[in-house]
Amino acid sequence: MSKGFAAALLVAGLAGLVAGAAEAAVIASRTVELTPDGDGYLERQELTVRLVEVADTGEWQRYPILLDEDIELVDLTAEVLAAGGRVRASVPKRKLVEEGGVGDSLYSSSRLTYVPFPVLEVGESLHVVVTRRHRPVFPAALVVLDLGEATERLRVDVAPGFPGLRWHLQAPADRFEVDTAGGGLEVTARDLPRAARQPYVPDGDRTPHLHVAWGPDATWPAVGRWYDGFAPMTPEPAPEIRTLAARLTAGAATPRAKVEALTRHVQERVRYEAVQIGEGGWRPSPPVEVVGRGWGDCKDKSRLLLDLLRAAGIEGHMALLRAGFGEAVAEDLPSPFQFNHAIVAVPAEAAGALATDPVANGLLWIDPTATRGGVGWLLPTSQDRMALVVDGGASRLLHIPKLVGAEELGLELDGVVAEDGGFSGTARVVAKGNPALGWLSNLEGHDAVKVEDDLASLVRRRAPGAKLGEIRWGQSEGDVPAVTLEVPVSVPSLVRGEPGHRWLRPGSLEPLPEPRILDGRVVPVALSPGLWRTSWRLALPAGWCRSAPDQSVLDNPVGRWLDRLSIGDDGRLLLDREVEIRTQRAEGEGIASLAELAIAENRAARSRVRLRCGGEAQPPASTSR
Amino acid sequence: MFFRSNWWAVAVLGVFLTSLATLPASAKDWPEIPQSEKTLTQVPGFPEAPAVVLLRQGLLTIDPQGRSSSLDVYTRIKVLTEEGREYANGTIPSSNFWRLRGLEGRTHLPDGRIVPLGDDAKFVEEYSTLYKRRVHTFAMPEVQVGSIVEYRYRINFDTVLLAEPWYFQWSIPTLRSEITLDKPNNFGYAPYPLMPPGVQLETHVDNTPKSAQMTYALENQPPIPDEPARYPFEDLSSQIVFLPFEAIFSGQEVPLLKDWPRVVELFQGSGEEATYSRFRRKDHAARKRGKDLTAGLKTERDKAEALYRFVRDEIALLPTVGVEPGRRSADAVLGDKRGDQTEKALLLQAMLEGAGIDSSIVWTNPRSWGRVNPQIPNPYQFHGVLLAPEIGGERIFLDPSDRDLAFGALEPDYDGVQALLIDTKKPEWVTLPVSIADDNTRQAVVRLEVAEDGGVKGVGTLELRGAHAWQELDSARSEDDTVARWTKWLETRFSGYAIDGVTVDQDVEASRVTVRWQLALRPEEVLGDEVSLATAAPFTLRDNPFSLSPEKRRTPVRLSFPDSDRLELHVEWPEGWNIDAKPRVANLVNPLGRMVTELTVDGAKRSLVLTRRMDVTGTDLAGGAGYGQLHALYEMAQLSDAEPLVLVHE
Repeated sequence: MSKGFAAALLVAGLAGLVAGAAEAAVIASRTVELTPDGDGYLERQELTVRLVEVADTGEWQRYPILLDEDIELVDLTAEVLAAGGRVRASVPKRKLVEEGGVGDSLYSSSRLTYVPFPVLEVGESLHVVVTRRHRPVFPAALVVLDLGEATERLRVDVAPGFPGLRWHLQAPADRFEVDTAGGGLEVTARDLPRAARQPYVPDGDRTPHLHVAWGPDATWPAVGRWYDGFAPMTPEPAPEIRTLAARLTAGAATPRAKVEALTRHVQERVRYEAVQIGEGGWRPSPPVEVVGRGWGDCKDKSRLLLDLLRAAGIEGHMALLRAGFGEAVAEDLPSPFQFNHAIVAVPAEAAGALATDPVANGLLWIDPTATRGGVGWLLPTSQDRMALVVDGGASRLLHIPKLVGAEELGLELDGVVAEDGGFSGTARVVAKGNPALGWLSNLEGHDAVKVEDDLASLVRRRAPGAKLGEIRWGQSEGDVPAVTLEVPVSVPSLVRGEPGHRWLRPGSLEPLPEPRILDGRVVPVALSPGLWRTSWRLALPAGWCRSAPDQSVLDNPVGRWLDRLSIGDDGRLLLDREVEIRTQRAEGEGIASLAELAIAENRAARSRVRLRCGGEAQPPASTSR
Repeated sequence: MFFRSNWWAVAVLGVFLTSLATLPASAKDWPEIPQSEKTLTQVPGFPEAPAVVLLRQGLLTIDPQGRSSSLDVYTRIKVLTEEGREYANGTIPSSNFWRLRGLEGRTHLPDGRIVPLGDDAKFVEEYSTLYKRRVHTFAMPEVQVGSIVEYRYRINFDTVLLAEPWYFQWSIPTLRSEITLDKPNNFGYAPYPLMPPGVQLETHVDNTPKSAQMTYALENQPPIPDEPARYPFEDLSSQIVFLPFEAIFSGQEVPLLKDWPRVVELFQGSGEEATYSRFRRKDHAARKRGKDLTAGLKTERDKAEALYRFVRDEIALLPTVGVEPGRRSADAVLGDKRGDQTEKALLLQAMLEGAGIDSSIVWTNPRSWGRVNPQIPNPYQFHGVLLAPEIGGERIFLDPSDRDLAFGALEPDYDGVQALLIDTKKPEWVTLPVSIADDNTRQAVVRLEVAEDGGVKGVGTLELRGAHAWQELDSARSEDDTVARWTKWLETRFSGYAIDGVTVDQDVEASRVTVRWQLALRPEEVLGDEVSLATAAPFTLRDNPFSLSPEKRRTPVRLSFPDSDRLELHVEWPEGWNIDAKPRVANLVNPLGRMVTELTVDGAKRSLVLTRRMDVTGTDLAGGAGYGQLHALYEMAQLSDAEPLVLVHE
C-alpha cells in the first residue's frame, strides 16, 4: 500500500538526488503542466537551471527522470546552453541511462533514468523538457513544488478538462499563489529560497507539494468504494484459507481468541517483504499466494487476515492510513495517494474486544505488519490518526485511537553512594511498546553483544564512567511488548565536591528535540509519543546533607515535563525526571508548547543537584538546586 | 581474453563450486538433506546463531577452448531463529561478463512440505546499462524457524580467468563449504589457499584423461562477526583462489598468471590482451597536451603538479573498479574529458611523458577492501591504480581520480599498503607512505567569555589537516552547503549555543580545512547564577564506539588512520564569579596513544586554559592488547569529556 506515497517520496527524493549537493544552482524557471490524456494525464516539465558554482557542474551532470510501469517517457529535450544562450550540446533520448530501482522494497518497478550531460562549465545553463504519460490507478497526481534549490519562477498549470478537479496545497500559504479561474488550476511562486533541511519533519511535510484529484470519486466514501472495486475480495475465501483458519482457531474458545490466533499467525508466520510492480503496488496479492510464498507487504498481510477472519465467521475491513510519526492525511482531498499503509478494522463487538484493546468508533484496529502485539497493541506509527475504513459505499474516514500508557522507556538507578561519591547499585531499563521492540529483537536473537553495547551506551550517557555487570532480562506478559533489563552498575564519582558543597548532575533520558530546531519553525515536528522517565534512588552516607524537596512541572497540550527531588521514608534521595509526549505531530501553536518543554528539559539537564544542609527551602533563581 | 573484474559479483556471495562427485546425476535432482540437518536446532559453539549454512558447493568448469566457462553454485541454509529469516532472501549480481542462468530454489518446512521458489519471487534490477550490471533478488517462500532453504544457479563467463577468491566463511556459521575446479588438462591452475594457522583444508583430486577435478573443503567454520572497525571480511575469512598459470594449445605453452613479470607483460606488452598498451597506442594528443600545458614551467615538480591538477580537475571520474581500463585510448579519454581511475592514471602518465617526466603505474588495493598478497600473482586483487613519477630523485605517489587530494597525497585507505609498480622491467613491490598521528590532526581553539548575567559568548577555530581534512573536503559541494553543514555540526557539538558567522576555508592543495565561528549561549539556557561548560567541545565523546570489553572482542581492529585531536579552551569570567567545580584532569598514556587534559587557572585574571589531547597512533590492531589500549583510551575520553567546568556567581 505504499506505492502512491512512495511515488511522492520518489519524486521528492528525485529532488534530493538532484538538489542534494547542487544547492548553489538556481532554477531560473520551472513550469509543470498537467493535461488530461485519456484515462491518465500528460505531465510536461520544463526547467532551466543556471550552474553557479563548480560544485553544480558535477551534481547536475546527470538529470534523473523517474519512470515506472504506469509512467512512460513521451518526449525529452535536454540541452546545455552556453553563457550567451546558444545551445552548446544536446542529449538525445536514446542516450538515457537506466540505473536501477528506487526505494527499500525487495523489488520495485520504479526506475531512475538519467540524462547524462557532457562535461559542464560554470555559467552554463541546462534546459530540460520532459514529458511523461501517467496512467495512475486513481485519477490523482502529486506535484512537488520545491526541488530543494532556489527557484526564481515556478508555475504549475493544471489544465481545464479534468472533471471535478479538486486540490490540496501542502505548502506555506504566503509563498504560493493559487488561481482557479478558467476551470483549471494555476500555482505560481517567485523567488523561492533554497529550503534548509530540517530534522524531525514528517515525510508528508518534507517537501511542499500540490495534490490534485479529479473524477467522480470525490469523497472519502467514494474513494473507499473505488478501492473495493479496484481490489475486490473474492466472493468466498479459498478452500486453503478456510482450512488454515480452521486449524488456527481450533482451540479458540472466544471470538477474541480466534482473532488473536489469526492475527498472530499473520504477524509471525508471514514475513514482511515489499514488492511494488506498477498496479501491484496498490492491489493486494491473493491470500492464497501470500500463504503459499510466506511473505507479503502490508496490504497483502491485511487482505490475508481479512480472509482468514471471514473464514472464521468474522467480517472485517481494510483500513488505509498514513503511517509514520507525525504523518497526517489532508482530509479535504480524498485520494488514495495520501495513504502508505494498510491495516484491518474489525467490529469490536464481533471480535469480543477488551476495554484495553485499541478500539475506537466501534472498531478494533489490528496491524498485521507488526511482528508483536497481537490484537492488543498497535504500533505508535499507526495510532492516533485518521484512516479510511473500506466498506463499499459505507466507507468512512475514522480516527484510530491512541493507546494511552502503552509507550514507555524508563531508566532507574538504585543504589548506594559511598563516601568518595562513587555509586554502586542496579540500573534497570523498563521498555514498553515501541521502545521495547529493538531490545526484544536483540535479546531473542541472542545478540548479547548488541544488547550489552546498547545498554552500556544508554547508561553511560547518563552516568559517565559507569561499569556494568551481567545483564538479566525478562519479558512481560501481555499484548503490549514489554521488557525489563537489570544490570549491576557502579559509577565512580557520581557525587562530587567537598562536604557541605556536594553536588551531582544526574543524567536523564531526553526525548525532546533541541530547542534550537524549533526557532521560528513553521514545518510540523514529528514526535514519538510516550513516557520517558529517569529515576535515581540514592542512599547517601550518614551525615551527608540532602537537598530540600522540590518539584517543577510544566504541562501543556503537547506534553508534560516533571522534575522532582524528594526524600524517601528511608532517607534516600529520590530524583525523578519525566517527559510525557502526548502527540505525534506538533504544528502551529503546538511548536511553541513543544519548545517550552524542550527548554525546561535542557535547563534541567544543565543544572546540578546540590546537597545542602538544612533550611534551604527556597531554591535560587536559576533552576539549579 | 580478460574481463573487467567483477569481484563483487562473487565476493558478496562467496563463489562456490559444486563437486561433480556430489552433484545429482540429473540436473533436476536436488541433493539429499541428511537427517542431522533436519533435526539441527542450534550450532555447537554458536548458540546465538540465527541461521547456519549447512552446505555450500561450487563447481567451476573451465572450457577447454578457453571460451565459455561456468560456475554452478548450490547453497543450503537452515533458519534457527526469527531473525534468521532474513537469510532467506538472496542477492546475485550479474553483468555482461557474469551471466546468471537457471536460478531455482525451494524451502523445506519442518512439517515435511517442500515449497518451490516461484518465478513471482524472483526480481531483476539493472544498475548499469553500460555493462548490463544487474542484481537478481529472490525471496524464498514460507520461511519459518526450522526451515531449510536451498537454491542453485549457474553463472556463465567467457574466459578462463576466474581470479576471485572463494570464501569459506560468512556472517553465520558454516558447517561445510567446498569448491571444485574442473579444469581441462591443457590448462594449468595453481590453488592459493589462505587460512589461519592450524586450519586444515580437505583436499581431493580426481584425474581423468582429459581433465582434473580438484576439490577443497572446510567444515565447521565460525562466522565472521560484524564488530566496529573490524578488519575487512576479505582478510578474516578462510579462502582460496585459483589462478591459471599456463595454457597449452597445439603443444605450445602460453604462460598466463604465472608470476608477476608475466602478469605485467599481459597488461603492458604487445599482445592483443595488453590493455594498457592498447590504451597508449593513441596518445599523441595527450603527450602534446602535456607538453603544451607545461611550457614555461621550470621545474619538474611544477610540471608534474600542473598536469596532475589538470587530470584531477578537468577529467570527470567514471565510477568503475579494477585495474583494467576501458576500450578507449588516451586521446579519446582526453577528448571526452571523462575516464575511470585507471584511465586517468594512464592519461596522466602519457601527459607526463609529453613533459619529459617518466612514471610508473602502481597497482594497489584500499586497505578496507582487504590486504594484497604478493605471493599470489593475481592482478584482480587490486582495485586501486595510482601513478608514481620520480621527481628530483624522489618517488611521489599520485591519485588523480580524487578532486580532494593534493599533489602527493593519498587517501587514508592507502596508508602503508603494499603496492606493485608495474612499469619497470621487473615489477617492484613497495609500501605506500604511512602517515602518523601528527599528520592527521584536528586542532580547535575555543575562547569563551562569561557575562555578568551568566550568559556565555565566544569564538572558535577548528583546523583540520591531513586525513581529517580530506574526509571533510568535497569539491562537489557548494560553498553555501559547506557552511550549512559545518554550522549544523557545530550546533550539535555545542548543545544549547547559537552558532553564527561560520566561515570555512578549504585548501585542497594544503590538505587543510579551517572553520571559524561565533557562539553564544541561547537566552533560555542561561541559568543566571551558574554556568556549566562542556570542557571537550567540539570533540566531546558521548558514545564510545569501543565500549565492548576487550575479553569479548573477537576480531582485530582496523582504524582508518592515526590521528590527534587537540583542544585549547580559554575561559574568562567577570568579577563576582568563581570556579565551583573543576574538571578532573585525565592522564592516560599507553603504547597506542594518549588521552591527556591539563588545566591552568589564573585566579587573578579570572581566566583558565584547559587543553585536551587525544592521540591514537596505530591503525592495525591485530592482537588483543591493542584493542585493550584503544578501549582504555576511549573510556578515558568518554569519562573525561563528561567532566564539567562550573562557575557560580558568589
